[in-house]
Amino acid sequence: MRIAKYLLLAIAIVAALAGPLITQNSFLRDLWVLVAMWGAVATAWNLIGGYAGGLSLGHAAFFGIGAYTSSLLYLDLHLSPWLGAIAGGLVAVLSALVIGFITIRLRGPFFALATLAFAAILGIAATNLSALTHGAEGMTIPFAPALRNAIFSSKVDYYYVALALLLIYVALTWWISVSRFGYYLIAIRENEDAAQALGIDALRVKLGATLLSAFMTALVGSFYAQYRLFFEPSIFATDISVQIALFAIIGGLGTVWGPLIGAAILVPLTGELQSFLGSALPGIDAFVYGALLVLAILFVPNGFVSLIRPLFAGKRTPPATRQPVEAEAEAKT
Amino acid sequence: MSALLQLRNVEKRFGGLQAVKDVTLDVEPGEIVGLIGPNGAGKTTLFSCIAGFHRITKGSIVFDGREIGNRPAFEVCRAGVARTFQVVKPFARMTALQSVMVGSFLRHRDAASARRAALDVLARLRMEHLADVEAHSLTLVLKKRLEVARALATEPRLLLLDEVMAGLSPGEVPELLDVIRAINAGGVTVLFVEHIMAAVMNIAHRVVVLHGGELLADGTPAEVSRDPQVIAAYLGEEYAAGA
Repeated sequence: MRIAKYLLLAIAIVAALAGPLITQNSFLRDLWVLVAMWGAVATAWNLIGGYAGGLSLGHAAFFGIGAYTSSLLYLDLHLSPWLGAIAGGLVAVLSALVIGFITIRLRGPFFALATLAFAAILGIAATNLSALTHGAEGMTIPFAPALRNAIFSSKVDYYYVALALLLIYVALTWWISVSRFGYYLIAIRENEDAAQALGIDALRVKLGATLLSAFMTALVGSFYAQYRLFFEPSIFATDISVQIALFAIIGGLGTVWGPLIGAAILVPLTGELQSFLGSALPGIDAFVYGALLVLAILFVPNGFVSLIRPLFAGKRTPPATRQPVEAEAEAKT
Repeated sequence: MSALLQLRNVEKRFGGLQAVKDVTLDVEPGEIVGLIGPNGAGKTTLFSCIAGFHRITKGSIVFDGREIGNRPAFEVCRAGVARTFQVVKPFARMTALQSVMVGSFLRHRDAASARRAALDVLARLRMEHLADVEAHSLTLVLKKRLEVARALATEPRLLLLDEVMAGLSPGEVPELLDVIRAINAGGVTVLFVEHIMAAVMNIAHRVVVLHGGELLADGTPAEVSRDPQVIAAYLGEEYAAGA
């Protein structure tokens, strides 16, 4: 088990670092970038959606805010997108503060609906405030490769930027999961009243997670803009929000690696299905994708991370169940 | 010496229903006070008012010289009042240790010392061997005990226990009584709701009787069990005859 664990880790590290170098195929290299990118967004989403249990269906809002802010600052004020991304993160934090203040009290489906509406409103605003956002024609960033412009001629360079973000996010999630903040998030998810009774200011903790998640998501949004060099108001679309949530759900909610694993499975799957089946019958790829999702949720309800977790579960005590109180005395050794 | 907890003319209305009427009550530091009364007497409601889960409609609740009436639950807990829930509210997918750590994080910021404090609390509750068991797979009795552990981990000065002995077999009651006595000996004042009269009479320094939301009696267990009003409202003639 020990060896399997380190072997798996070593393979993962080598694959992550060298992955896009083994191929010249532009489509495959794009997949590597997209997996790292969506993995990062899903990891950010997981803080509020997985750990705190607030099913956000509006994370495209923060993603789009990041893309629009850094791009507008770059195009209109020639600010480097590296700084523009930070600015985008701060705008996302401000908007999360406003929307969070209104929605954080809402539980369950009401929170999900409110976040859904929030992204939809931004999509409409982006379409109609055409003086600022270029409206439905979208934002086009001229191809001017330079480090300062955060535009690269090779996809491999983009990949390492996305990988850096991803690794920082995963490391941050791990750190949160073993610290007070993480315990508090899970406690709130499991039972908000009980959490309050233990001295936890649940609204504040949840709001903190939302702000952090918004900031992280917006940074990746800026990355996306610099990578694709074109986007339109559809960046706020519900299907993007749902995709983000799905990566984390399929991979494993409230786990450190789950969202990345989900993205690593689903991103290539969508691409492959499109290229193999898309031409056979229009829409068949989406149909197959949906069917596979249903099967995954039925048969791997705790996410794909639960399939590899036994490898990492070192010295866990066996899951004791319903131990009678009488057994307590002997068990104390 | 001033009381640790002072309730003054506390009233709680739910619309037209007056669940708690004009309750005035002092709990002194170091006491174990039992709160008894028939179902619907307002015991749990009174607990929820003290713990910040219900707003009170009249009166004041002072803990350690500070008004805590109508303060949010997390502030009441930080002030030093911890509660358990009559209907258990476990963190189902956390282990017992993790659940207790959620409580101990209140006074211990870093995970290592929160973990040590939590293990210590589990040992005091005699459930350290269950540390790695997920809360949902514990029996109801152990879930209740985990509630006590969680609450105790916040290092309260006043512990509110809401029917933690319900469902215990007669053999298990004395063990939990010992645990509660040990908690009290450690300097924690205890206010508890209980229906098992033998347990109440055994452990309480003082017994308070609620009936129809009102304070009916307040005295030592012996005094209260002889009180004709209490016998009529709650204990019943048989208990009086047997006592």
